[in-house]
Amino acid sequence: MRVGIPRALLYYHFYPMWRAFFEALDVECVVSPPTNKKILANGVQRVTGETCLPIKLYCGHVVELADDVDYVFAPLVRTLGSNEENCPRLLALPDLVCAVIPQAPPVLAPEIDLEKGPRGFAAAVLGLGITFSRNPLRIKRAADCAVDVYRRYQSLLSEGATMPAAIALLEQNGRELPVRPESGEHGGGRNGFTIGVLGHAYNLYDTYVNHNLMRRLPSLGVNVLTADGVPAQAARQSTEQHLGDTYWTFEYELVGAGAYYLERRKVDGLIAIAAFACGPDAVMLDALRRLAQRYHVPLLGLITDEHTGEAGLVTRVEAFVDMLERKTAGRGVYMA
Amino acid sequence: MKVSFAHLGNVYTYLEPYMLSLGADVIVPPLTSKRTLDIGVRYCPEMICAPCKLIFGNYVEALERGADTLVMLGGWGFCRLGYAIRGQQEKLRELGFQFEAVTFNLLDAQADLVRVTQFVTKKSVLRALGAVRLLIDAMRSVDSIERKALATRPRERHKGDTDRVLEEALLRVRECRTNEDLQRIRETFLPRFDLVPQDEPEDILRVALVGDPFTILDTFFNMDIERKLGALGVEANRWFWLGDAVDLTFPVKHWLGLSTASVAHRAASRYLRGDIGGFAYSTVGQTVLLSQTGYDGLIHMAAFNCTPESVAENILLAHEAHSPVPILYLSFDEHTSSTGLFTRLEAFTDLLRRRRRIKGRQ
Repeated sequence: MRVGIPRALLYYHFYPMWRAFFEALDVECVVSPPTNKKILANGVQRVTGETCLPIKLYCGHVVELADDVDYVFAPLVRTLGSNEENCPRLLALPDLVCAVIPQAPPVLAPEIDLEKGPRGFAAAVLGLGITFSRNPLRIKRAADCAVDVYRRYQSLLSEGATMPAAIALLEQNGRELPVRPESGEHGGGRNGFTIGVLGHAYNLYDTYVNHNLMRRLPSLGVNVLTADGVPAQAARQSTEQHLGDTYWTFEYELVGAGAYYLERRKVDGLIAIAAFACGPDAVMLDALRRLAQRYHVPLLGLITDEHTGEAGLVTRVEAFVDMLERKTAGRGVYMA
Repeated sequence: MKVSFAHLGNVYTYLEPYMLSLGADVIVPPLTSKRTLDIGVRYCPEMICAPCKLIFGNYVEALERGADTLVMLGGWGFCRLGYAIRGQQEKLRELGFQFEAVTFNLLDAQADLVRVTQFVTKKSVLRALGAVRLLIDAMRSVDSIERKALATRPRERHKGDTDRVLEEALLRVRECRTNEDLQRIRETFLPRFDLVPQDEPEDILRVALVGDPFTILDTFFNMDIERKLGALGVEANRWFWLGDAVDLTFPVKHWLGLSTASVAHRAASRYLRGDIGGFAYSTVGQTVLLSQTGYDGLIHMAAFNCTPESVAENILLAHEAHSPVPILYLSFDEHTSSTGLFTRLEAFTDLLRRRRRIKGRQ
């Protein structure tokens, strides 16, 4: 049995956990290759132009996997906590895949709604596992193993690993990062200032779309912080403090982490990445802009879509870093 | 308390008498115009949908005219407008306006109606009940009037006759203060539509409008699409009528699975597993239902970048082969051209008429 996992959307958040679950049930996981021109082209064809790029990429990755696997894994993540809900496109993900990619193999789509409590979660996991095993105890053991791996993944991230690095490490069954970097695995920091890079993981780590932004920043001498360095509870609290209420499941990646770093004065600048046509991000960028203004921290907003050119993106980022260098060099001079 | 609100089609015609009955001073913002749009575009995030911008513009124009209390559209589940509300309130305060706000969630209309009423009124609960009775009656009256207009307009012999009756009727609704007033309005104006000189052309088309409520109701944003369709000999109908939202038997019907919402959701469940926010679930369901009830075609209308509606559109497009009738997908934003829209509607109605002729021959 082969289950395909598209290298897009929530892959970055949860892949090690999913892989552990399936492998414990003797199911082979096949991940699509990193985004390339063909995958992007295939994805763009499947949905209307108005659809956000991350969904287009997801479709392209599913098409890439379609012929090689028996199932595609596309869970419906409804909530991961209380008082929040996920973006409409993610809520419709399995239905979208079935509709726009009719040649896709059967879609495995457990509904993950943590507001339903542990019983709800257990039922969803059982429903998923039953496809591969009739033994509920075995499914439970697989789930326990998966949760274990997820905890290890989270601790690697909080130690400063990037998501791709942590995923690679767990795949090799490593236990520790080979080198303990001074200022996070993202590296950099030579210039002595720190930028918080805020955005959904699938916008940060899909290097084809953002033209390898996460590697460029350290090479410009910047210390990078992302939402992974922020404990979930703290992100929530910061959001509630500044906005009154949490709203979206992945709000913590932008507003939560932004508020957290701003409050603690841990960043000299912020870069926020959003996909064009992302409904939630459009308003979150605005909320971030107001937060950054309150703390007098410069914010660069980057909007990505399938036409984002490398030169334009790089120029803007370099200009922003230059500006920060000048600002920190002349501390005490306020530059709006 | 000087209360105001954003525009949502002709809702202001009954919100005004309703609020007055509650003992509040009401300021009706100017009808949505280019200025409203310019204000919204200037102060709202660029990527947010145009309805949010227009609504923001309405708030500004209301506050400019002295409102100190705003009933703001939004709330949980109501698409990102619910999230944007905080930003809107901050921005309005940054612009120097002082006001109190209470939110109204269309997805929770009945409960919020009670809440807003309690917030606004200084009268006793009994007096408030009277106002709510008036509101519901007025909503239903406006629905009847608008329905009559939709049926009459494609048949009118002289262009503009229907709209004259419609405008006068709506003006009277705005002036109503009692349920008896509304009774008189209905008795006077509903027959007047029948008195408009009409012909019965052979090729009158019946088209249903589906999609997000704001785009369907707001005549500025949708470029008066219902009038354009009337001029093309189309009798349009909407997938929802606001009067139904305050149907007091709704909770029972819904529990029994008999409400329009439950019926629509059942129809949608084949294509969409559950609610995904906004009105997408209803849109998909209503499209399925309405395409099977004798319409010649459907028009799906949504704001550009409306996230739930774009999902509905993707799913419906993918299942296009299942649809018994053609569906036209229209996306509206601040750059939509009236002429361009009319051209597309013309082409669509031509297609529907050709289809009918071909079917008639078979």
